[in-house]
Amino acid sequence: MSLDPKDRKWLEEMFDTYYDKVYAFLYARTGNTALAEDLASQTFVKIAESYRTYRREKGAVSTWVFTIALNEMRSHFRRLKGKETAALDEPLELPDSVDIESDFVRGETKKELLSLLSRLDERQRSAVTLKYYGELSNREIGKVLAISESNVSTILNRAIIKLKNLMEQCDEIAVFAYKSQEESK
Amino acid sequence: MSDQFEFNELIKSLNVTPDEEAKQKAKALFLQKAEEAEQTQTAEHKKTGSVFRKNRRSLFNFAAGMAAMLILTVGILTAYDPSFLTGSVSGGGDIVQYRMFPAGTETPVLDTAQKYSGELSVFHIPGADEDINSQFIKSDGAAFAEGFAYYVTQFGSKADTGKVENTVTKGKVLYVPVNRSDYKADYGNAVCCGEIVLLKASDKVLQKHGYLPCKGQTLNAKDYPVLAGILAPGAEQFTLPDLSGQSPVEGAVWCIAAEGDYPYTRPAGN
Repeated sequence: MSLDPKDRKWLEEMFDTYYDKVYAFLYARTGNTALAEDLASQTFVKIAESYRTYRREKGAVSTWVFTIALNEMRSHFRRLKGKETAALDEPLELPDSVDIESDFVRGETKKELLSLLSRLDERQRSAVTLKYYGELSNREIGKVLAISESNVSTILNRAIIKLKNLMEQCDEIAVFAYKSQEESK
Repeated sequence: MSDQFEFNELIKSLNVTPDEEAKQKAKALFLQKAEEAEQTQTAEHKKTGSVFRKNRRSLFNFAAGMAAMLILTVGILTAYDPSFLTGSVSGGGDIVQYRMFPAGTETPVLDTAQKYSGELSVFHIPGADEDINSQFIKSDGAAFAEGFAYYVTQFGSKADTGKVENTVTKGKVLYVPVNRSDYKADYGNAVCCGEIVLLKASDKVLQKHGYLPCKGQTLNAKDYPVLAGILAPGAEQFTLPDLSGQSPVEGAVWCIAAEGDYPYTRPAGN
C-alpha cells in the first residue's frame, strides 16, 4: 500500500521547511559541504522510517527533526573517532567564481567563523548553531539539548561573549601582523 | 548594539545554501523510504490481523470478563455513593470550544486537545515578529482585534475528516465544536496564555478553567502576572479587547486564556 496523499503532503512540507535549516546547522557543525549533505540526507531517511511514531504531544516537529540531526552527527563522529581528524580541520571548499578576490575574502570569513565556533565547548556550539542556523527558539533548543529554557539563555549569552572576545583577539593579531609587515617594508 | 550587529553579521556570513541537486536527491530518497516504511507497516498489520483471528475466541472471553467486572465495580460504587454515576456523567461537556479552521477546509473530526495542522489560533502579536516560532505562522488574512492576529499551526496532529454536528462557517472561518469536561488553559491542553478562544460555558466554568471573557475590562497586572507580561509588560494595569457581541456562534463568547505558558519565547530583557 502506498503513502496516503495527506501523509505525503505533510512529509513534503516538512522536508521543504526543515531541509535547508538542518543542512545549515550540519554545515556549521562540520564545515564540510559533502558531509553536511550526507548527514542531512541520513537525518531525513531516519525521519521517513520513524515518522509514524512521531506524536505531537511529545514535542514540536522542529525539536524532533533537530534531535535526529544532532544524533546523526554525533554517531558519525563516534564512528570516525580515532580514524580521522575533526572535520573542521579539513580545508574548506570555495565555489568557482569570476570574482576571485571577494570569494577569497568570503572564504576567509567562513574559515574564521568555523574556527571560532570550534573553540566553543560542545554545548555552547550546539546552542549557537541550533539558534542561528537551525532557527530554533530557546524553548525548542532546551528540548533538543534536554536542558531548561533559562539554561539555554545563559549558555547562549556566555557563548556570544566568548565568540566576541575571540573575534577581538583575532583582530588584534591581524592588526599586529599588518603593522609588522608595514614596518619590515 | 554595534557589537551585537557585528556578531550577527559574522554569523550570517556563513550563508550556507544547500546544493539544489543534492537537496532534490535527498527529497526523493526521503519519500522513497517513507513509502517503504508504509509498506512494511501494512504487512505487519496483516500479520497481526491473522494472529488476532486465531485467538478471537479467547480475546472475546477476556473482553466479556473485563466488561462484567466493570459493571460489577460501578454497581458497588453506586450502591455506596449514588452520586458516583450521575456525577461523572454530568461532569462531561461542561465547556464547548469552537476551534477554527480556514473556511472551505474539509470538516475535521477532533478527538484530542492538541493543535491540528492548519488550525487557526489567535495570539497577541509579539512585537515586530511576523511568526511566533516555526510552529505558528502568521496568517495572511486580516487582523483579529487590535494587537492580535490569526496564526496557522504548521505541524500539528493530522485530523480525520467527516461529519460533525453544529459546525458554523462565518466569513473566512469554519468553527468546529469540541465538547470537553476539562479544558484548562495550559500548554498541555494546547491553549497558550494570551490566546483568544471561542467558548460556550457558564461564567463559573470559564473562571474555573482559567479563561476571561473579553469585554474590554481593565485588570490589575498583579492579579494576572503572566497575562500582563504578554499584553502589557511592565504596566500596572492592562485592558482586554472588547469582543462582546462579536461572537459568530450564538451562546458562545470570545475568551482569553489567563493561565498557562507563553506561546513564544520573549526576547531577553522584555
